Amino acid sequence: MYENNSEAGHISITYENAGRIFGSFFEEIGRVVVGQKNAVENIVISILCGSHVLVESNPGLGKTLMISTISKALNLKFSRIQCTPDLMPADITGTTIIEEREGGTKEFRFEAGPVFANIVLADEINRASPKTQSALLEAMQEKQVTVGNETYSLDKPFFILATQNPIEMEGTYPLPEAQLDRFLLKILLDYPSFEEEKEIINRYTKSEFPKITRGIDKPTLLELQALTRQVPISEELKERALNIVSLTRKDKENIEYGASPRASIGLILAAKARALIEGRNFVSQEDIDTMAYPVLRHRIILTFEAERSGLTPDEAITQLLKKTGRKENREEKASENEQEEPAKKKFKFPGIGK
Amino acid sequence: MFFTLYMIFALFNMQDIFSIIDFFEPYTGSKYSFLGAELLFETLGIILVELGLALAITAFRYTRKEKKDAIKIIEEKFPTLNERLRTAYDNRAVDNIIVKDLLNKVTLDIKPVTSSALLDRRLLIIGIGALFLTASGSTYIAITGYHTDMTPKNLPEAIENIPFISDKDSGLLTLEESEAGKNGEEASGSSLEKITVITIEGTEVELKIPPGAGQGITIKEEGDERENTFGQSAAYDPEAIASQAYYENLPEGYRNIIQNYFEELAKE
Repeated sequence: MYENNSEAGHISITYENAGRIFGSFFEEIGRVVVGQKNAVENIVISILCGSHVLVESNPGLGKTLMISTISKALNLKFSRIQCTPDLMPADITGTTIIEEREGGTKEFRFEAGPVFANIVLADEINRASPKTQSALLEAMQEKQVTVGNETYSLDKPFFILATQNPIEMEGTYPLPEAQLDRFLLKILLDYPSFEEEKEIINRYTKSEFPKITRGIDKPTLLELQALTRQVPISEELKERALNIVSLTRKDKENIEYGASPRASIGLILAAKARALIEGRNFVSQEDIDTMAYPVLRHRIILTFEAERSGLTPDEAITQLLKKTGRKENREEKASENEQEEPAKKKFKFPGIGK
Repeated sequence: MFFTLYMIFALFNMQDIFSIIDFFEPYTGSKYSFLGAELLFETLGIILVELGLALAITAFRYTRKEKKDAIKIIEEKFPTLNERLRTAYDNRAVDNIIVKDLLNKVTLDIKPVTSSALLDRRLLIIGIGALFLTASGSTYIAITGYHTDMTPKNLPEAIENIPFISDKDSGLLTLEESEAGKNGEEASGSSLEKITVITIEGTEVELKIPPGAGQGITIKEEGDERENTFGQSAAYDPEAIASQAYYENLPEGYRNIIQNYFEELAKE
């Protein structure tokens, strides 16, 4: 059922088959998830980079279905955390309990929390208290959890998909910038098109729901993660990525706070992952420019005047790309429009100017 | 560049500059044997100057010229190598599966690329055309000896004739008109016409010195005698003056006319 190249144990075989592996993987996901191709691709990119994703969307757009389908296709352990204001850190990390054994002896035993999975869905993370959010931080950054005096490592690969609802902001705890910076990508989900919604109705109003039948196993995924970092990039494109990120700090007209060097690392890694998914053995300018949006949109803070004028983070990023001499192509323009419209119409920047 | 300089120097007789410079003047006119041919010092010298200048100008232009990126040129001419060639070049020292795959594929794809792909054909054609023209011009001048009348000695004069550089029409001598106006006199016109050297209030004084008199403005008082250190030259016999157009034998009737003229002049 799962793609397994471990019999040869050779990363080269995985590389040779990478194009075919990803092609069939996305095809399989497409049997369950209608549309949202960019979102699925970005989630896979983040998994390949060994990082995490923040998804912002209205309710009912299939976030849970999407991530649970991906985890099934990757044959990885999946857990879901519904964040609420009364959620405690121990509810995420786990806690030590007293267990009575045969003979009447009692001893402490660590009961692992839902974070001890390969793929964790933290639903409505902005509803959890800052204390609980910080418990997730250590897991995201260090890939380990500390409970009491004991530190427990998390299984690899480890991926957190956190979601935010842009509508219900009352009584929420917006993620601070330090936490936002730890997410590699921020994905904006839009409503499906008429045709897509029609397909959703067709699939999910029957007695049987679609299921995946094949995917990628863990050893292959780990090899793909290793291959991602091996994808070569030219010095010119490295400098381009650096220029884009440094412009976020220099453009004081629209951007109050720019992105950190973590964004530069993230942008290049994400571009490498995209190149691998696209079947290329080199990073192109298109990869850098396309990934600039999900990598930077949650790491920049617009000025008050820019927000008041209706400028969105995506539009600010578009202006930066133009300053760096961007070559536009049709695909990028289409994806830009797709991303810009939801950014314009649906989503407000949390916390300011409601 | 050498041919261009040769044409310019030959047209304007720049070899004559050696006769102006004191250090080289003693050597002008001397001949030297060079590759079986007899060459004048001026010719040899000017050729060396042209060679030196040509090398210096070429070196200066080369250092100032923007260096071209060969990879960019190849990627533009061969779109299949776009971005791949640069990536392969930048990562040539990296050893992993993907880079090896990229290097192998780029090595195959770059085989049709020849060194002539790096040439800018338009510039090459222009350069060859310019070389042909200058070489032809230089050959023509060398064979026919064609040159202008300009020499380095004429340079100061030539510079003076250049508009906006010479000061001939600037009018160096000007008098303040207000001074004459104050005394009731009409202000004099150009300083080259009439110069009023003395004014007396209420009296119109007609005392003007024509331009070029050389004495400047002085007021002569009684008893003031100019010291005369010049020796008066002896009177000369008008008939003995040599004229630019002197004829030993004048046409008939001319001698009498001339003699009568001078006799009348002496009577006055």
